[in-house]
Amino acid sequence: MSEFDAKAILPKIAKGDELAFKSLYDQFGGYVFKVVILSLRDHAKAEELAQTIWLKIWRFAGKYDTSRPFKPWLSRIISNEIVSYYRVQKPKNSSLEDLKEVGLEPSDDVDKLRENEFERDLSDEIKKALDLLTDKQRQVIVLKYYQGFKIREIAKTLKIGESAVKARLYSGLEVLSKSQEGRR
Amino acid sequence: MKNCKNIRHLLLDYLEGSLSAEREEMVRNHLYDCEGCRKYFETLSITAKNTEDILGNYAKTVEPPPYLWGNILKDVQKSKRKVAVSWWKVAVATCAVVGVLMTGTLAPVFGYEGNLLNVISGSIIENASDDLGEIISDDLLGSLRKEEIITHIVDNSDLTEDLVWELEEKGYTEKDIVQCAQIADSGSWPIEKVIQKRDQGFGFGRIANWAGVSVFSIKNRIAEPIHTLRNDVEGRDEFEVRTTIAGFNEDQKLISPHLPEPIGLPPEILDDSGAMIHQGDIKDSFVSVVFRFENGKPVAKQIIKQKDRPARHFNIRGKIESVEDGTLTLSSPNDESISMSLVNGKSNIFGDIDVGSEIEVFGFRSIDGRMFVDFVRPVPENMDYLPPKTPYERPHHGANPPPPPPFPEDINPEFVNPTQTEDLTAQDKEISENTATTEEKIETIPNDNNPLEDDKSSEVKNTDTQPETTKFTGEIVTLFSANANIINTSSGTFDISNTKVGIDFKGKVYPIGKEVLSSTRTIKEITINGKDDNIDTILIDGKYLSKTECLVIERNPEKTSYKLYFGDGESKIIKSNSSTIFHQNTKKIIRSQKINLYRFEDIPDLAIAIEVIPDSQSRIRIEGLVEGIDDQGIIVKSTKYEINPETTGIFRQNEPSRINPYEINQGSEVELVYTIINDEPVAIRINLLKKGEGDHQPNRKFFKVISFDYNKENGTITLSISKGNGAGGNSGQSSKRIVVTGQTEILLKRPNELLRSISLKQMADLKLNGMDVSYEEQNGRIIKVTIMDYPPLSPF
Repeated sequence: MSEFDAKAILPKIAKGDELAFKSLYDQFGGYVFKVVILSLRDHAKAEELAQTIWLKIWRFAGKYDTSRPFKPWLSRIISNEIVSYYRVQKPKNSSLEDLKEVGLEPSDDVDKLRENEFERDLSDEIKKALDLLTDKQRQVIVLKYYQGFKIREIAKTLKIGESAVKARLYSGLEVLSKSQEGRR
Repeated sequence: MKNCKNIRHLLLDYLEGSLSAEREEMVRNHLYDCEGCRKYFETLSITAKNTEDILGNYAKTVEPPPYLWGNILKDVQKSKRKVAVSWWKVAVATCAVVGVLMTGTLAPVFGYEGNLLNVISGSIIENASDDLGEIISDDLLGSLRKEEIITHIVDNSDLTEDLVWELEEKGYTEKDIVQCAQIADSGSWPIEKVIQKRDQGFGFGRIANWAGVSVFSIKNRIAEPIHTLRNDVEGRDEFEVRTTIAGFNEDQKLISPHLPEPIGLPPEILDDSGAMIHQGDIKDSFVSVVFRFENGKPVAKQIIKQKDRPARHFNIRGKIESVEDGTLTLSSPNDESISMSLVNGKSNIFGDIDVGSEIEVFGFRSIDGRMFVDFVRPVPENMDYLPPKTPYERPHHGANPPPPPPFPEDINPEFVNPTQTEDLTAQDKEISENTATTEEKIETIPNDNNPLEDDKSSEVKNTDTQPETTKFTGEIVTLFSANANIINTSSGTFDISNTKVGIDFKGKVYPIGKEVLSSTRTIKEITINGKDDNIDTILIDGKYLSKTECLVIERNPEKTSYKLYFGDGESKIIKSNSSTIFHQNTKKIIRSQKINLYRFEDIPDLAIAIEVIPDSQSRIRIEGLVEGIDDQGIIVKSTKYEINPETTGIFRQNEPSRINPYEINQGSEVELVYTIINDEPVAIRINLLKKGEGDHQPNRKFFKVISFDYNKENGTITLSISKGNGAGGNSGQSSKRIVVTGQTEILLKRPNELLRSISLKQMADLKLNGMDVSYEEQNGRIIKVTIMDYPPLSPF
């Protein structure tokens, strides 16, 4: 979807045009859901949060500045919701320390699965990799390596400093690199 | 190498190509030269690429479920509908109610808007802990989506969506945001200023006070949960304001600090038992005024006297001599100079007043006798103020209040020393072990190892070496003097779990309860109202302690009971001699609650903290007389304790009882140890204290089985049963035969089991000899037989 489309559609949504909203959803529904599921790693919760995000888009459509690119605006909404989700979920977070005990080495099972069913293997792999990250690390990793934002843009989206973004990326990549050792 | 570190920090930027040409060159050169960094860079870029692949590939495999759109649409449509009944609209409607109330000309002059607004808005959700923060109840938040709340705030206040976003990003919760908006709406500050103060770490209560929303004054003055009589906000026609009656004006109208204008005497003036009383009896009293709207105007309908106003409240008139450094000096009518502290230094002065103005001061005295100004207003011209019953007394400390004790000299450093935490924990344990069940006497806090109570010599020693407050950072946040002045505050939020907080009371620091602070929170202020042993409220951050802890609070003149305020606003009376907890309103004994009660060693009559232990695990003991026994359990009527009829009843045996129920008969004295499961008392153990004279089974006839015969072919069991009562054991002399057939309902009762139905075959498998049975006969046929399968009498 081009930026131009978003610029035409968002003001309509702001006026309560459900059809325009649907067309936006058709174009970005998948994207939003994918970002959310990568960040949350839980299908049911991802559905719930995606729903919340879309309601927010609906409400805040009028706030969108049409002179600016749409995707960063959208990402800001998504990121905000993910951050508040993490905040609520905080007690449940498993720390890196906890996970270290579980062991990082790819098991034989993973190899077997890879032979049998590529898809399932991948989702296990991704889950495993993302599970090792802290919420903060995961969020920047997804923003950077799935959503494709640059460090500066991530910093803006999350309203944190660039060095904080980098610190999270470095530490996140370090964790991932260990978990990917078997892959290489 | 230092350089490597710098280079590595740039590698991610290098990878995404966002470095300046100059820096890019530098990184490239370094990577060429340095093998370590080159390796690191390789790993980094491979991992980055892999991660990108993994995420991308995975994303390809997931799609939002098809029903998601439907759900979203439903949400959107629901949110459109909900606007009409949103809480915010309710709040606005309420403000309109207040508006009506305040159309009187006096209101703007005295500036009671904020004050009254809080009375009213606090009322609406019946919230007792009366921090502004609680005004938005969790229920309300829970029933609405965050978006809706925010949208409606946006619709109705200074809060813009951008601001909401900004605040969310700062980590403000919805509740926080709502509070900011409420304070801004109710007070005189723009929302930006409210937020600015909040960012600096100030509590909402304090900010509200600064902003002219007099939350504290309400609490200090009334110190009671304020609630409405009518809960239906929309379309309601009555509301209630609790206040003090200061006097009458010349029109015989009532004057009260919480009412914007004098009100006419209502037809009904009652005491708390509902009896009519004379109007003169409500002077200087706490009253509840019930208003009804008539033609859109509130008219007092009923006044219910709650209690006499404690002497700690004062209400005086005089001319302002000076207002400086947070102290108001007044020359009273008899030309005495009286100094009073302004709470928070600046707030609560209403109306246009200046030096020389004749004003009326409403205030309260702290424990040490210092006077604090609740609020001040110009003396209304048409007001014939009747002085309170208690004549004005000079404050203990004369005209100039002593400065608050410096920090940390007056605090024993052991209190907060991190190395001492183990001691504190040990002390905690000791306290926790010292629990009181409902019939035990109040336990005091063991004081032997209390580091708070050490003498002052060590403090003096320590002041030389450790005068810096930094030592306490993170360990203790604030200590407070009894007069609500903060001795020391480190700003910011600290994790103060496992930190003891004490009250400096008459020069000693007392811990408040046991782990009163069990989570991260910032304490800004503890306020104690009352004088000496008449402490009536202790507030932390303007709130009573929440959840399982509460503070005591008020003692009746006979010193037989305390009124407690719990965090949930429920107040309960505790008897000092038995610790039996009664519910204040229903007068029911809440025996299912076990409590720990803490009190000051030196002040035996004053409890300071109560910990209510959740009732699921608690066991209650009562003694009573057995009224009857049936196959469900025994019916006990207590003689020793006042028990409500609904709790005197059948106690089902759950765990193995200590004695065979056959030893219990009518008139037995028993001790029941029971617990409450699903609101039903379940006996854990029954101790027989004294055998009674009555029947074992007064309501039923039981017979002992002497022998039985199972006829498989006919499908019948023939029982030989004793003619006498089975419980006596002297059976067997004469017997009777009954025949149980396939048509007979067969019931079996075993210990620890409920009565259950069994088959004939199952019955035949029982060793029936010696068991007790009862039966029902109809037209010569046995239609029902109940078998009591109890173990033989044991010598317990």
